[in-house]
Amino acid sequence: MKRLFIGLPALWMAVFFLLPLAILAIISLGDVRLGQPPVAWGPDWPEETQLDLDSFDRILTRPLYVDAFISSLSIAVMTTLLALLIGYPMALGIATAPRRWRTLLLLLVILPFWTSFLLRVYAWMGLLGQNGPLNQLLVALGLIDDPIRLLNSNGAMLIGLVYTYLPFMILPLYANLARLDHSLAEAAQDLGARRIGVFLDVTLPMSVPGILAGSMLVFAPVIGEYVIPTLLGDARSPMIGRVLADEFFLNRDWPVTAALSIAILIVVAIPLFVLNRFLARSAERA
Amino acid sequence: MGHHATGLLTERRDIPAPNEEQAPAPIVRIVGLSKRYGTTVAVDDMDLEIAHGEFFALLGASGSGKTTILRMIAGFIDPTGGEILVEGKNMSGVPPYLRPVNTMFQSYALFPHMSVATNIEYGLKKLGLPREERKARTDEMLRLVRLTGFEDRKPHQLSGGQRQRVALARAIARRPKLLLLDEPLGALDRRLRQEMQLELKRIQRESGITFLVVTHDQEEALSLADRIAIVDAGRLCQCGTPQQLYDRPGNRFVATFLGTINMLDGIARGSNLVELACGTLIETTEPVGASNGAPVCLAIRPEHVSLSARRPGNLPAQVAGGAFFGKEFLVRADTKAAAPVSFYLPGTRDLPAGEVHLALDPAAVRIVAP
Repeated sequence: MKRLFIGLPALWMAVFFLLPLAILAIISLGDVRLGQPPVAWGPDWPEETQLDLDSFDRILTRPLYVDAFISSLSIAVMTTLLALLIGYPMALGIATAPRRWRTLLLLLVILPFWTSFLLRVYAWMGLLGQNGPLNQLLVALGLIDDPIRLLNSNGAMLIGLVYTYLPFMILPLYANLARLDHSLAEAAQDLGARRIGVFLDVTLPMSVPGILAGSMLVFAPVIGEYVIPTLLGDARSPMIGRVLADEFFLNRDWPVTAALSIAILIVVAIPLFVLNRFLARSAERA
Repeated sequence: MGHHATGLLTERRDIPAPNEEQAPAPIVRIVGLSKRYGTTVAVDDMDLEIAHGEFFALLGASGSGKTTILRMIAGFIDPTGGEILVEGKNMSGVPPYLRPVNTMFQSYALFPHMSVATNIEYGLKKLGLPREERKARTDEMLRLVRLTGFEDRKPHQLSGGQRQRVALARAIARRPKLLLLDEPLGALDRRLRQEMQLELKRIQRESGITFLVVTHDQEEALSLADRIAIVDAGRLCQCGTPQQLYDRPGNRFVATFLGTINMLDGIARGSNLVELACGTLIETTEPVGASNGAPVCLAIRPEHVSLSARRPGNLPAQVAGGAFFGKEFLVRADTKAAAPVSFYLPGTRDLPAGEVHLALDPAAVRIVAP
């Protein structure tokens, strides 16, 4: 029975994660060719197999890929920081709200998930569009004379990203803050700390695991995000997810696409691994 | 339980009871203190004075309002009526971080991300003391609670008893006028409790800080405190030294709450006699204080009941059983006086069987409000 519980997920991981990953790795070591599949391993394949790292070489040296990586990383970092700045006070507010309000407040955070993700992004397109309500409001207030271009900019993309991923920041933070022993805050007050001192000395350091967990849940998916940058972002500075999609669908360059996928995986996996070690250690202490 | 309490009482006789004539101005004065939650009354018009350097205990069952009083003194709860004065200064509206009062929390509430030394130093930092003085005082506190050498440990690396010592050191490092202790021994096992009881007394003496303990454990209160206030349903029942409360309980609740006691209902017969339901006339040294024929309640501790001969004034009883405590038995005997009577017999001989006759020491018979 116990073997089944461990074996089943292990089998699942092997078939649907490790196997595809291995296929991806093999494709990334090939070259583009015209044909089906559009990939070959060496000039004389399938008679003779020859693996090379050309695709990795390309994504590490060509500005198109390097720039996309840098812009993805900086967008992901900015989204994470903004989500943290907005999400932390919200999580703290919910965690310290009277008990009967908490469920309702949490429900409001989760509520957007009940409508289609795409629909919500389209809604933002409408809101930020040339004749959208935001532009109309700005014109009506006399702040601008003519509607300005809000859509298809880094700003619009950030709004969409932060909006979409905010619950992923709030929920782990809330779980962490709600569990905090209230007597610790009282002890700090008792020992002479004012409200700001209680926050800086006790609440904030004690919520580091929640901050890290929430940040990772936002950072990891935003790195490879495709839909929001495409619909709201600026096409001139594409993020890596969009480059990846273009390589696959437009260029039919499977080796580069595979190499990009593996690179994204590494970029996300390293901080995740470090975080995991940290959380395990802090769990040991609690 | 009651027997054990007596044992502790004899042990602590060398500690002088506070002399009321030369008592200095109280460090804490509580006047008409009340706390209402809607229609529920948690604390009801409480008056209390705690003297300088005293070890004071608030004793009551859970839900009696004792913790509410503690939290109002600490400043975590605002009273709905009355005043708390610390050294004559009214504390109403003073936030917890400005009160000359510190708390040792029941859960200890040590900061888990800080070392032992940083925990103790925390309150000193908030006082704005310079580094050298903070260090000196932290070291002094570590010596006082005998944890020198543990300064770099984190709370999770300490035992329960050590954590409590850190909590105590942290709370008295700021040299408060008053230290509040919330069920200080509640979380410790029996052996550690006895050790910490003596430690708390020592630390209180050495630091000279007034201690106010809140507890539901009568043994803890009797063994620790110079004076005890018994609280029930938000009201103060009786306040006095452990000996006073044990020897002269003011009412039925206090009598039954502290130690073991025999309570027998009867009728006043003259100024120094009580007639029990079985017809036996019990002599009392102190005046009954009720008119002839009025119902009264007679209370006597088991240690003042002894085996005697069949004689008028002695209570006939049937031995029902006994609990062996090594030195002696606590014997339970059924009587026709509405309630069974408990008394002690030496542990060296066998329990008597059948009918016995019990003599009640007239000097130790107390009449309490029925």
